[in-house]
Amino acid sequence: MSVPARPGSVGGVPEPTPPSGGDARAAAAERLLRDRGVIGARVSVAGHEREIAAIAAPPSEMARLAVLAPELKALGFRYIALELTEPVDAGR
Amino acid sequence: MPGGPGAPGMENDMMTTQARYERLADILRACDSVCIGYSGGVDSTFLAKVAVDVLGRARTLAVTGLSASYPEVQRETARECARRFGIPHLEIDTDEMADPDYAANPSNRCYFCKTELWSKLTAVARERGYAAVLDGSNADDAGDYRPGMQAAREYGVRSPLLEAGLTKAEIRGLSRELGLPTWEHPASPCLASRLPYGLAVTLERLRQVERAEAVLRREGLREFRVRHHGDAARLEVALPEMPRMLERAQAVRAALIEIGFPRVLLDVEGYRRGALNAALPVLQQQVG
Repeated sequence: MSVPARPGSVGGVPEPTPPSGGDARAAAAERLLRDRGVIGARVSVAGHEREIAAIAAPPSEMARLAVLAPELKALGFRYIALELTEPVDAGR
Repeated sequence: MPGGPGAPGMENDMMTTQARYERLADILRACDSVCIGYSGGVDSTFLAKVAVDVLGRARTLAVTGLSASYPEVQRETARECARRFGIPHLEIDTDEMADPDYAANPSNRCYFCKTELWSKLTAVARERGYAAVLDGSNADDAGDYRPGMQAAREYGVRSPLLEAGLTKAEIRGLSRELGLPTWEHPASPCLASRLPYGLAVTLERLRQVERAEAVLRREGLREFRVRHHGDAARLEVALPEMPRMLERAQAVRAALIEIGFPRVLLDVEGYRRGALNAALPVLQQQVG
């Protein structure tokens, strides 16, 4: 499995919250995903109440993330979402 | 009546639906003349069509409240259905955004919106001599969290679809028999329903949601919501449409960034009705 690109700055758009930065729930979510075999996924937090776990992972992991959603929510998130990121070769 | 009572081959459950349709017709006849809150959605379009069939054009008026939270695409449907099916139609301006209680987006936001709508619509009914004001709530709505229904009660608005016991599925089936194009339209609540409670409703956010949902429609998706979380768009797409969504993810993302969303997120659980009500237990704890 390839390591997904981290969310990046696009066209003047602000950099998202750093993955796991300052939020224990995000770090716990990354550990959980790693333990369940989703290797290299990065988790950051979004939403006006910081209620969303935004997961940077390959789109092919969607089905597995859906299965893991209840466990991820149990860490303190209301919603679990795949972060749509710019392709790694964009602009090259 | 669609199919007619006792139509050949009619299933037992359809007989029940027919009985409920008859009950609806009886309720409308008892109303004598009706003014209907008409959004162009599945329920109110069906109700308006049946009212015209039962009471006639002279005793029916469908009224649409136009505001910033009412999607333009819905307005087109409302106009088109009224034209095609001979439903007398009136558009009036409503301005729930001017109410700070609404704009603050509390969990009972719909109460303030519907208060604005029904205050204006009941005034129209009074001025024009319509005996009853109706909404399109159905039997399935009874179990939902719907503070807007309280406003309806306060203004004496009746819900004949609910009174007749007609469910959404039954209304879709009957709409299909009547030839209404809305029979297969997805549910279409107002744009403010895409903002989580507590995030202020602003014109800019409503327009961003409307433009973003137009992007998803252009990409061939039918059943979805763009939820505006302030710093991100969270897309809820019906699971059967998820492969198409993933196929078009880059185009969708680019378009939504252009619209002004800093981040674009795809909910892994897909579209589910009333997903933002997941916050209600937390909000109720905070209030309590």
